[in-house]
Amino acid sequence: MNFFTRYLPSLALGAAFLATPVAGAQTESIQGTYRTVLNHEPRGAEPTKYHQFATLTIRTVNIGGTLKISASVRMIFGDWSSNEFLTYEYPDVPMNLLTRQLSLRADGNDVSFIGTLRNGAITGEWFSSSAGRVGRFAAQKSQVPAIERGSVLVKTVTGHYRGTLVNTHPESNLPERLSLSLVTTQTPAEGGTVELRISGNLRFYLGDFGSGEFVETPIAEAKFNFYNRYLTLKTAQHGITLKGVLSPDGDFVADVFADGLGRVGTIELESVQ
Amino acid sequence: MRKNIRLFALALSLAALSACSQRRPSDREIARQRDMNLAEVKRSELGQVGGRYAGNLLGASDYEQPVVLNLEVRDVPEGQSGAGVDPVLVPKLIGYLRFLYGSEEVGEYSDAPVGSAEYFAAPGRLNLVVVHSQFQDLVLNVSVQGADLVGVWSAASVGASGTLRLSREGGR
Repeated sequence: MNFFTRYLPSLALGAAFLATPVAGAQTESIQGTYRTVLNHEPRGAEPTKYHQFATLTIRTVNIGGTLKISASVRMIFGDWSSNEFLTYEYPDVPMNLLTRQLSLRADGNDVSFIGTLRNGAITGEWFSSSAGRVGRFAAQKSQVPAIERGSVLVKTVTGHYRGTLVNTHPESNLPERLSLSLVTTQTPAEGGTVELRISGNLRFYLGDFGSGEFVETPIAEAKFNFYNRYLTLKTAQHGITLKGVLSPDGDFVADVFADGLGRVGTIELESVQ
Repeated sequence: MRKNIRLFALALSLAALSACSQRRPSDREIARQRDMNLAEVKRSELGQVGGRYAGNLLGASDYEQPVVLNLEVRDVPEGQSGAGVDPVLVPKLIGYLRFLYGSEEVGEYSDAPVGSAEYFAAPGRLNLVVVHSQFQDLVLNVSVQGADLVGVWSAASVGASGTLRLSREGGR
């Protein structure tokens, strides 16, 4: 009896066993928290690609043989440790049985996600109600999905900004150097949701930055659209309003308005912290 | 001798009386017996493919969708209206196709019931129609190859189709 006649039947049996599909072989649960990278694709003249971190939590329950999925998404501004985030709840997430396509959308939520669940990862596209399609996203439980080369992390609104002011109104003589401090806090809102509230101070330097010669006023009112990044700030004193776009990488370019004079100048600030 | 003749005549009379007392089966009873015999044959045939099969649907968006097919032989009352025959229990294949998405233990699956099933024992062909609101009808045309079901699937209403290979748990 040579090697083949002796061992071939055993080998063939083993190969057949390995080739046989096993029920329930895919045992890794799909429920749990997925670390997610949301890509902001370049739009208009803005060539920069941005990305943003998020956590996507999938919950599953089986009711009478039918899988019901619900989810929540925490969109983080800044790095993973940032406490500046928005949370969205999706109580009913339908999934196509054949294509495994998931649809995360709910009335009242500003963002929606269409993705496909495969091999323990969810990939797809995400949309905002104000900007339409924002870009692609990828979510994985085991690791952080790959970040595109050259992509810049969306910074927190919280930070310290510093820059210059250019007076454009003949009756305006505001100081040419200014700094802005912004802080976001999570505040409970109606319906059990959480709002991000922004507070801060605007400081006009009469001398150099860091000198003691400055005039400071608290921000009385702040409104920020997290999707088109439009920021409006109104000071508590001196009747000054700043309206402009805070870029994802921390540049704030805005018009300056004064009560009684209208538009009096422009500012360009950059994040320094 | 005379006594023997009398005994023989008595036995003959009793036999004739007994034969007359045995009622001839009615047409209805004959038809019922025939249906029951056919059902037994069918039950035996369907028993060859009943069981729990596991495998994949291939071609569902270029992804192997793990599934479990559970088939059971159940006796379903079926009457022939107007034939004057009592309903007989007809063996049928019933069950479900389970789409697995994660852990079966924690219920991460969706079941779609088998709406109709036909098994042709001689060629070893099994045709199933699985129903679900998402794709209406999912048709499985498979041949029985030992402990495996091998064939094609199609969901015409959503324009999807592919192949499948399922293996019976525990073998043949």
